[in-house]
Amino acid sequence: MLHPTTLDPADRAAATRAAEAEALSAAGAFGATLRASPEFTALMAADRALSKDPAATSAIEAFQLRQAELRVELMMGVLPDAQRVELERLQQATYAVPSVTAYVAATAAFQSVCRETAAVVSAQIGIDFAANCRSAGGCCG
Amino acid sequence: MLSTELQDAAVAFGRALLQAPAVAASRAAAEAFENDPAAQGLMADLREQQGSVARVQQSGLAPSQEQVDRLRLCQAAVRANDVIMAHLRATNEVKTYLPAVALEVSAALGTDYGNLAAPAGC
Repeated sequence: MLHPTTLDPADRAAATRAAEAEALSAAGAFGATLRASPEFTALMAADRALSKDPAATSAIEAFQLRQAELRVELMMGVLPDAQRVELERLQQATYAVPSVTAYVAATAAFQSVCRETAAVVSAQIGIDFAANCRSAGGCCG
Repeated sequence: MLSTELQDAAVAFGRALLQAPAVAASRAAAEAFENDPAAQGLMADLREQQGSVARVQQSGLAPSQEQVDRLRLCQAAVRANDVIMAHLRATNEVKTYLPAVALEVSAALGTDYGNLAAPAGC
């Protein structure tokens, strides 16, 4: 590719558009490769198993319901010990359901793949891709 | 350890991003800034003055007029420096551009890549 500054304005604009289109196309191909990975397939399978498991659904709902009821106390940092213990018990009961355990593990495995790929991209471009690829910026953007 | 397919796809994606104008401009501006001792000195001065004022405020006191004036002088010098301003503009542009490209990854993946790739605890 010719350096854009050596081109006339019309060619420069065309080169810019071509480079942007190429980057978007490569982004799509990269996303498709991630989707085809065994880790993503495992995550999708774990997600399906979780959504079909009544024990998981009921444990998650029980935890979320109690968490919502105690939201104000949690936000204010004034949750009494008894209720904190109750929430922890509900959370542990949720994580103990095998389909939830499998889902959490599959999510962690795929997150690890995503982080590793982001590190590869970052090394290529010399910019922290993971920290800069969320529009909200996150805590590090 | 990434599979060969994922490693190759990530490298190809990174290489294509390198050619994107926003990324190329950001790298060029960062390099210009890193190679400009005057610009680096102005930023160091600004950070020092900002830190000085912040420390005074954190201690519950008001900064002196002299401290405020020094901070304003540093800010004006930074704003007048083309290398710093070009670096800031390019950084802002790439911070707008990269999320848009990541959306393309997410669209192909079917879920939010940016959230999944974010550092733990972020």
